[in-house]
Amino acid sequence: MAYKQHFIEWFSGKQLPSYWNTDNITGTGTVSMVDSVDGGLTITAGSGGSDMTAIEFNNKTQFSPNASTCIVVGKTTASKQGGWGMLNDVSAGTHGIKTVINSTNTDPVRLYTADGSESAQTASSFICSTAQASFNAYKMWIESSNAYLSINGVLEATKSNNMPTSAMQPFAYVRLSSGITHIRYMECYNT
Amino acid sequence: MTDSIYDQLNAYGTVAKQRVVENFTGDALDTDRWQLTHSIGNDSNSPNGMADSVDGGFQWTTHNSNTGYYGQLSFNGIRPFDPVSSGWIAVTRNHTTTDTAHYAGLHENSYFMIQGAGNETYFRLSTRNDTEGTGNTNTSISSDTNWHVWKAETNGTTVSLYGDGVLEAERTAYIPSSTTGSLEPFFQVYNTNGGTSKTSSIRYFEAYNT
Repeated sequence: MAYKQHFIEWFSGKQLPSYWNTDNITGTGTVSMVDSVDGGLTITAGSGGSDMTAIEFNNKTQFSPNASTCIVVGKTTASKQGGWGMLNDVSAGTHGIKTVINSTNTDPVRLYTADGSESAQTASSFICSTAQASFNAYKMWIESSNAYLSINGVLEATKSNNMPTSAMQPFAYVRLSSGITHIRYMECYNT
Repeated sequence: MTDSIYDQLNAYGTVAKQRVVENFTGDALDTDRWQLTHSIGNDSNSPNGMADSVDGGFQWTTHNSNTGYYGQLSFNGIRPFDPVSSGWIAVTRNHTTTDTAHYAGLHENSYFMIQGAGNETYFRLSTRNDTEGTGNTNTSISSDTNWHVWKAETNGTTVSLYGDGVLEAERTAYIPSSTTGSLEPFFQVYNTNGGTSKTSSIRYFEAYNT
């Protein structure tokens, strides 16, 4: 079988590699490598109340909407929103699969899928405050008619509606004033 | 069969710690990842940069015959690696045995690294705790011009160095501790005693927290 597209990012080095695009969707945020053990990368939103910054592949969509996987080790700050996954259009939030850690700390971590016009979510049993307190391993994958989320090896959510139909790019984002998303590993591949 | 590199590197259900893998392959050094610093005037010297040869990796030549002239790779002060729970693997070589040294490992004010040691008879494990001191332990591998694979790990009590797959040296004194600060990857070629310019190469580097 021919090798399929496969991407690994260690978020190790002096700065974010240039194959990533910093996408200031609202306001102006920053990205920087962290000078601490296991620190990875931080994405920090601007100071505006609804500011949002993402990193993505500048619309190079190499991952399948019906046969692909995305693994992320990350966390967010309390009372802010952040997440990661794969989307066709990061600004519009269309055609993709993503994990969202919400600003309401008692909310569950949610698996979202999106088609071209609408997104929908399924809650996990994992509480956002837990996702904010420490790094965890998130694995999202899409098969022909289902999408899945596992956290630290435990299957947490399954979805079958609003599935993407267009190719996707990796992304991670943060939203709300001065929020921070921390990410130290990302792997995406077609299956 | 899994398709995930993550699942091959980490036990099921665990959260991966920081890691970096560098193959030193391509048109030019990845300067988003690496900071290249060197003695004045080094840009015009050669061979420098990615090698146009089989298994050549990345090579650097010191500027001229001055003692202490060097070229070095680092993360420019970004230190994601644990001083008491980490490891590294490097594949390196010296191009000459006289007055040529190279160092590879994890470094900051404290360090644990391989020393391809100038006019020393053998390669050495070199460690430093910046509040206590510095020490070296010889391996049994002669300081030659061959490629060698070096692997070192620390658990905060002992630093173990493997050369070409064999445990070659251990040190328990003057090693990085939890109070000496986190570490970053490091490779340096160094002219120990003048003469002519000196060249060393590296074609693989991996570092990870354990």
